[in-house]
Amino acid sequence: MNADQAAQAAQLPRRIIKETQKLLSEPAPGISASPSEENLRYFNVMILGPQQSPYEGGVFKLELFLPEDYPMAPPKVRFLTKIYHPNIDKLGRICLDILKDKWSPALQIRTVLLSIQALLSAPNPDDPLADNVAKHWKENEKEAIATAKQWTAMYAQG
Amino acid sequence: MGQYPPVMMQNTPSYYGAAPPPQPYQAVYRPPVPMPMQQQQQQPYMQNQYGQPPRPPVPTQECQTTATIRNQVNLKKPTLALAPTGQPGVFNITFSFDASAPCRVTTFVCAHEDVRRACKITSPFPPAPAISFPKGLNHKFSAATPGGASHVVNTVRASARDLTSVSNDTFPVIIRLEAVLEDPTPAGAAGSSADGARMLEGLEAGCELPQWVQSQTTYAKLIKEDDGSWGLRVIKQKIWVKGTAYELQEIYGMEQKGANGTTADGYEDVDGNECVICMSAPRDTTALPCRHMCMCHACASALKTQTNKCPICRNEIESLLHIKINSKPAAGAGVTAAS
Repeated sequence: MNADQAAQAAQLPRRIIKETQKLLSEPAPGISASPSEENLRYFNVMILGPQQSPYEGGVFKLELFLPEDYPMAPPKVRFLTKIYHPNIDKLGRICLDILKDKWSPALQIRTVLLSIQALLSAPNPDDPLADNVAKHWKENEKEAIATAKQWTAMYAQG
Repeated sequence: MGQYPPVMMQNTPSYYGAAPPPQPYQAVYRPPVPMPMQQQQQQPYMQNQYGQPPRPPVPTQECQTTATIRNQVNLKKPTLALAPTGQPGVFNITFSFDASAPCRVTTFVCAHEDVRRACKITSPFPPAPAISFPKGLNHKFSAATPGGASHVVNTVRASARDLTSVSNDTFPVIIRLEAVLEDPTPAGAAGSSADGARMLEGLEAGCELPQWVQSQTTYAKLIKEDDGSWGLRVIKQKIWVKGTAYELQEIYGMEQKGANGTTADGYEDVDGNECVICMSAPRDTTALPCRHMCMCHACASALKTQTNKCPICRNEIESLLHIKINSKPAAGAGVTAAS
């Protein structure tokens, strides 16, 4: 850690330092998150596509940012890797209740990322963010899953 | 390849920018900036409200502090059980308890408690004689206790319905532990002339509780276990102190972690005894009515200016209870006044 980072870390709330340490020392299976060198509130995240999902075999990059009022406000999370999913739009934004009105300060970076991983296993086309994808999912699930697998093979290979 | 362009809106700063960001995020990041695309499809992000619309401050959210009431007798709920006797359908009541003063134990079956008459207990079945115990921890009450064999539940004599359900303050099983109230005030100690009358042995079992008795009463019902045997489940516990009955309620998250809950850097583990918000200070504030003790006092105060939802269960917080814990943990239960 250089002097600049040390100065940054000194200003970080203790909670963020502890969460970061734990994410690095005990990563959740299939999930990695590491803080950016320039900004310790900005995390580079990787989530492996869950087994038995259309995203299996994919490596999905995300960015996660802890706003100034975290943990009173939720982290901001976005997919950077293109993904075909009814609850994730073309800009990578995620429709997940705990990132909005169901946020609680008892949740953490780890629990948020686990929830996103779970969302990959269980797409919910009834609460869509990407309308066309959700429509596809509802009208022809088999075909939509095939598209999701194609996208995984095309875009999510690390 | 395969990456989204950074979210950039005209005339609005980015939420994220590209990674790594061109400058520190603290400077770039301004949460309340409207994002046209987000507003069409999802709720705009609101600061300080978990993403909910702002709500007026809740005037009832005041932080109360606790007064400690000393409980001299405590039946350990998980130890309460029925043990078979030689007689079919007849079971001994067994449990463990702590007593910081000499005490006595009475048990009642299918008994009614009159809360308007100082918790007087009446039962169609005459109670077995009270059993006295000296001061001591982890007393075992069972058939092996002298006199304990007569404290039974007879499932043949009483109806299954009366033994398994509660109606109108009538409980299948009531166990009362009574001690003489330790009065630390000089006036109480000086009232030695009255001490002669303060004998538990002189009290009838289940009588109206005098002011000088401190008791704990446990209410239980029978339950058929999966294997067909009878079990005994605690419904509630009340204590009686200086003429007032308090219902004992557990506070969630109050367990004390041992040395293994402490990590190498000397700070307790995330799942340990620390505030879920700052993850640093010890938890000492309980949300009511849900009884989740999950925050430190400072974070609870900060939280209540922003939301009225419990961080653990998201139920509405009506008030906060600040519990001062001594370094040596005493009784792990809070009390609220019973009706």
